[in-house]
Amino acid sequence: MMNMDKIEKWILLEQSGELSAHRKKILDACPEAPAKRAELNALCAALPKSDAEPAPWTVTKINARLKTERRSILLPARVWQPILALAACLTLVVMTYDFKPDTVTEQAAVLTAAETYAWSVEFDADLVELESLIQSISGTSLDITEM
Amino acid sequence: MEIDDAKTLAAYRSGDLEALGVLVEKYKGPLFGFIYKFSEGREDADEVFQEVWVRAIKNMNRYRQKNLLSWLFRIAHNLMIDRIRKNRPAVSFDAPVSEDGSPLGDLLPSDRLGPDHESGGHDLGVRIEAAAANLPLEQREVFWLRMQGGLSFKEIARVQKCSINTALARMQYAVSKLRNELAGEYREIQEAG
Repeated sequence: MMNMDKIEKWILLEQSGELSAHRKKILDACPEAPAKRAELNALCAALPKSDAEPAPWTVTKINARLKTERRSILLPARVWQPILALAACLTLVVMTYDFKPDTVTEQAAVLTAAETYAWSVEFDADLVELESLIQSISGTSLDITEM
Repeated sequence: MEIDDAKTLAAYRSGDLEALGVLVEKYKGPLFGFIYKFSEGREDADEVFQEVWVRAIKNMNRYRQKNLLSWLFRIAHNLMIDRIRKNRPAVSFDAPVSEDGSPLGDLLPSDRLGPDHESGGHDLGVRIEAAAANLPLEQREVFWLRMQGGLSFKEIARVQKCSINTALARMQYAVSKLRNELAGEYREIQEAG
């Protein structure tokens, strides 16, 4: 003996075509089933057929929306191209700027070395001059660097 | 998905704009009818209907189901949930408030099917629709997915992301509530049947 809850569920499944043949046999043997079945069928039949329809231009609108959205996806790319170009230019400038201090440093180093060399040569000359002066005064040979 | 639907969709994606018209024409009846039940008028329903198709076409790559209509209903369901969340009232009429889990909406007097309405002698179908409008959202959705959309309970379960048993129980509650609300008319219905 099936309870009413099960009968109702099986009738709903039967109506949607989801009840197995085996269960349908059991349901058919149930004395309460025909009344429940008739009730559900009558309810379905009493429901008004919906005459609501989408507007006739719906497809056109959907196509237009899809087209616009596709374009709006592409649009940022178009906007991004000059931005990317600008970014590339900026990168180039920054890199060039980044390299410049190195060049300056190298140049400075070269200049410093040259100045140091020039200074050393002058200093040596002064030393030689001083040495010969001391030598002429004292009459003895003196290595000033040993002082 | 039916082979025809797959072919039509493929044709649309390869640039045949008329292919969309074929699909919309094929499914507009059940889909628009269902959306219309949950919308605020024809214009609103039109907007939702268009949005369903736009989303469906945009996400076609992710579509793996067999039945296109069922998938369209799934999108419509998600859209409706989004809209309801956006316009959610401070107290939900569907939230259970009593010990037996009855939603608040069940405890309040019906605003659609008063005695005046009944005595107006309106069409039986209109009265059923008005009574169905008072059902809790999930039950109402199952009811119309089955009655208007013609979806199987397996498909309804997929749309609502629940088990077949839950979908069946919701339908059972819906029918039972309609039976109670339309007690007088039910005899009329049975006689008509």
